[in-house]
Amino acid sequence: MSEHLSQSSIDLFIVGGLPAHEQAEFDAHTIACERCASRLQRAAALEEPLRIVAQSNLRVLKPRVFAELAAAAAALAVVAWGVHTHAPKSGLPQLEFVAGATALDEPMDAPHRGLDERMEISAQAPDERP
Amino acid sequence: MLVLSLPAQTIAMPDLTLEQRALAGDRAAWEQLVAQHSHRVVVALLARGLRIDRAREFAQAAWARLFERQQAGELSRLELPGLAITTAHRLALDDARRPSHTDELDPELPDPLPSAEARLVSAQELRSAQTALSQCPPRAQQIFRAAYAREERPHGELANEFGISVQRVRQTLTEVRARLRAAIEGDAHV
Repeated sequence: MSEHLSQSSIDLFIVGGLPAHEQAEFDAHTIACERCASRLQRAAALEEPLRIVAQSNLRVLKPRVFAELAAAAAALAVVAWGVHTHAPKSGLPQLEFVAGATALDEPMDAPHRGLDERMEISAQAPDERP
Repeated sequence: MLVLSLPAQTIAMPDLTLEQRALAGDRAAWEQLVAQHSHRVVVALLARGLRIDRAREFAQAAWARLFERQQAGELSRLELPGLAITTAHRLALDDARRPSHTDELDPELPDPLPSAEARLVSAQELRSAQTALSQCPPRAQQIFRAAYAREERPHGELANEFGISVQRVRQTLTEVRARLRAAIEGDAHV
């Protein structure tokens, strides 16, 4: 194996396609090489977000459009797909692996898809500050 | 691969799902579930900053723990891979908290179990990834969406459905991943 793992090898591992005969060498390299271990971990961390992208037919709403939708949904239940409201530093809605239906600003218990846990979510209008 | 200590037992329950058969104690069903979901558990642990050998170790321990819980009648539902991932996370966290293992932790590596907030992908990054996916060839989009669908399917099954080789399925997935990663990382560097 070359000095460092190729990105395609790392991606192939992540998608479960690394040939069995390369697995032992791959493992040994990532154990010995901190840089490649870190690259592998970063690639792995993308997996769940990419799963959300793949599973979503939704167009991701722009903040202002989201705000309008959320406002319109105040009287109606709105599907709060992947909206996670913990500490959105940027003022934009943050996305997490949760899904549920709720009304604006009305907390609800929803399943956390990646962790087999439940968590509280709510649909909130984003901070309008620039 | 999980090595179960009990003798092989296959229960004739043709109308039940694998999960239901496993909950009923069907060892063959457990073996299939492990084969189906084990890699994703390992990847989830890697995503938490664990080294690959430790990720494999905790993944296997998690499956063994789930099997023990089923045998003890402690499992009433089996939602996979979520339950296996959660179990593996907890095992890794418990291990990291053990004083005797503190000196094994590499301070340069990320927190092995960071908070949910630390793993958030911003709305902007997600938008960019979706845009990048929409710009991939239609066939590649279909394969990617099918491979990452809620109901996971073996690559061989996708190869049959799309009339291509398994190798081509995996190549397509890595190509799409590369585009989406570039889109997300591009945002992260803005």
